[in-house]
Amino acid sequence: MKKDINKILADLDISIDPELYRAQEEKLFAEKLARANEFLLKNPPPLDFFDPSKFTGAA
Amino acid sequence: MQQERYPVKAADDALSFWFTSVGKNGRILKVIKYSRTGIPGIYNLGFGDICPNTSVIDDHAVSNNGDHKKVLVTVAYTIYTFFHTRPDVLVYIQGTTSARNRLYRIGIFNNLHLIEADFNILGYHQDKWIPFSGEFPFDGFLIKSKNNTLVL
Repeated sequence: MKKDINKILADLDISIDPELYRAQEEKLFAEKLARANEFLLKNPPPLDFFDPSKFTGAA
Repeated sequence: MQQERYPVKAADDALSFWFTSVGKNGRILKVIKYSRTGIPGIYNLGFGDICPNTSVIDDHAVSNNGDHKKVLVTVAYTIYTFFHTRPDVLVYIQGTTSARNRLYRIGIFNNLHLIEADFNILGYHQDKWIPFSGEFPFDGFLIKSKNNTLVL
């Protein structure tokens, strides 16, 4: 992310310590990504995603 | 997208987005981040709130700010923006709770006529990936753009 988070927060009129913000953001999205990876690796999506005829269930 | 949404600030790489929800509980900073997953070509859509007083992002928070439709439309807008720069990848969305997955399902279903024009959607239901339907609860969603010329 090249855009300055300080400016973004200021533009949004949000008053938060940028360093604390960065730390929390990193923690949050690392956890989310870990959850996503665990789910996707356990339940790999079909590679032929574009062909609905390959799937069972409602269209 | 013609529905009302919040103005969004985007990172230069179009992987992070910020906006402020304004409602009955005040102003709430929302953050959306698209992250590469361990499966090539699949990005995870992460979404969270930031508490302005403590700077703690509460992933499980229900903002209850009276604007959930506008928030969902704003998140959808970032999906369009993301795919505009990366039309050939998949986006994975998983709520932190079943209630949140239900909210996403309802949001998708209520706008399905618009969404289906631009995207294919799969949902994970009972141990398999199936095309999206409003009938079933889903544990997660996969979205793929149908074309490379999305109109923002």
